[in-house]
Amino acid sequence: MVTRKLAALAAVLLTGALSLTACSNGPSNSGGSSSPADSQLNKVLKAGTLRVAVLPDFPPWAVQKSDGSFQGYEIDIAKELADSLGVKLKLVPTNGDSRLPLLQSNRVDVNISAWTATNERAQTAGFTIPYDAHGAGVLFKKGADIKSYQDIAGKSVAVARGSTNDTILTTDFPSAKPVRFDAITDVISAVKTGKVDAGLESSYTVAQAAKADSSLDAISSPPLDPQLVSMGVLQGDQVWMNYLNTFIRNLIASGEDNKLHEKWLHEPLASIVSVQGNAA
Amino acid sequence: MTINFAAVLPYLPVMLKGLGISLEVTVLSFFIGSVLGIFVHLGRRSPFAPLRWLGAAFVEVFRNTPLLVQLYLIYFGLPQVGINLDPFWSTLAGMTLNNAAYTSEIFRAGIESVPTGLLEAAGALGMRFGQTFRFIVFKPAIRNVLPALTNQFIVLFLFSSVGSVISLNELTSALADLNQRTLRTLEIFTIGGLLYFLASGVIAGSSRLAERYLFRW
Repeated sequence: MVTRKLAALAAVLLTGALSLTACSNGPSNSGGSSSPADSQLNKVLKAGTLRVAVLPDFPPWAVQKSDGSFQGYEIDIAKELADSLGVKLKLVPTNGDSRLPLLQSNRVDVNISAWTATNERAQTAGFTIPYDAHGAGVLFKKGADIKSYQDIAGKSVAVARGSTNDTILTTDFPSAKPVRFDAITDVISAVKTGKVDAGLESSYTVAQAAKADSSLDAISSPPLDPQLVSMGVLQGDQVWMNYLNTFIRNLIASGEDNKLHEKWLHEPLASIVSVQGNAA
Repeated sequence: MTINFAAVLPYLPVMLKGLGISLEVTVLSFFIGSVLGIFVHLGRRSPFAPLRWLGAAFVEVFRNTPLLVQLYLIYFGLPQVGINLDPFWSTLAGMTLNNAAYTSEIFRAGIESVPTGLLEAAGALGMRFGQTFRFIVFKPAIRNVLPALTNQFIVLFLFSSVGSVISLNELTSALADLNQRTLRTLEIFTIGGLLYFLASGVIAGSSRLAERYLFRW
């Protein structure tokens, strides 16, 4: 009696487990086909609304204010994209984990969310040409013997554990001594209190920290090891991808991207990105 | 990613090095803190009112605030008044003061648990104060609170992980770094948890041995 019940329970669980694995292994990354009619571009034009996934907590790239509205560098780019299509703009907040799922469940048409186009990610998501580059900058106390990025070799450098700056430090400056903190504010505090010789963080962050504290100085232009940031879409929709690439190229060539970048980040667009807008 | 413990085993030396630092800071802070705790307790029993208040204030401040807050104050806050300590000494200072506050209360419980009848008997037998304290008060008191002290030692050891936030390279910080590098969260933190468990087990085991052989009536 008991063994029969156990066998039934085991059968149910096994079937459940198998069906779950079958579901998760199914490919769900393909977007529309390359035919213009099926493309996301057409769908957006027909619907009259462009849905864009953006970050709500990454000022000044994008931040959601207390009244629910968004503002920031990437928000302005999203507005320009919607204007170029002649449609309304709808912003959807996202985070690192949900960028791809939002595309796959057709809740957004495109991601403009500080998405770094790494090779690993490009195997599952579609990336346009870059519109921005985030690089690192060095923060140090005024009077320290640091005149260029190379001077941090052999010094103790604070980084946020596991960040891209952590990787930059360990691969490009193996002689430097990394001191890892969990929070970016701790990295800045460590430099301020003299616990480390320098701190490596995003170029914007170090520039702001040096501006806010007269005892600190920073080297942030041009940013070190820029990571390319692209718009993200589903793979397979070449028509949509082509439109976005054209839009981005024109945005850069007209100087608009640089203007927005200066407005929000107070520094020019990295040359590795702006070169895409140069006439051949 | 499938679960693969073998992929994480090459990093065991890094974890053991972190464990060594965790143990080092724990042992030092426990013994220094316990001695300090005895003095704090004696201060609270002194006839000098300011000394009593100082002792009481010390215990309240360091027992009723989180160790993390204390470490932040020591490591990031003190430089603003000119005291600059490295992560190891900051963690040691914070854990020692924290431990002193807790153990002074444990010692209070232990010493108060010795029946006053025994003290009177010792006086009647003509024992000097030093002899009374050592044989009649201190050793029985410690024996009574050995489980509480062992608890405190293990808790202090596990709390050493808070040092990772102020960049001390102990076990938890090693685990966090390895996790970021390999993304094998389950394997790394399972082995890390096992290391903490085994080390705590050794502490608990040696305490039980001490109970049986060093503190027999």
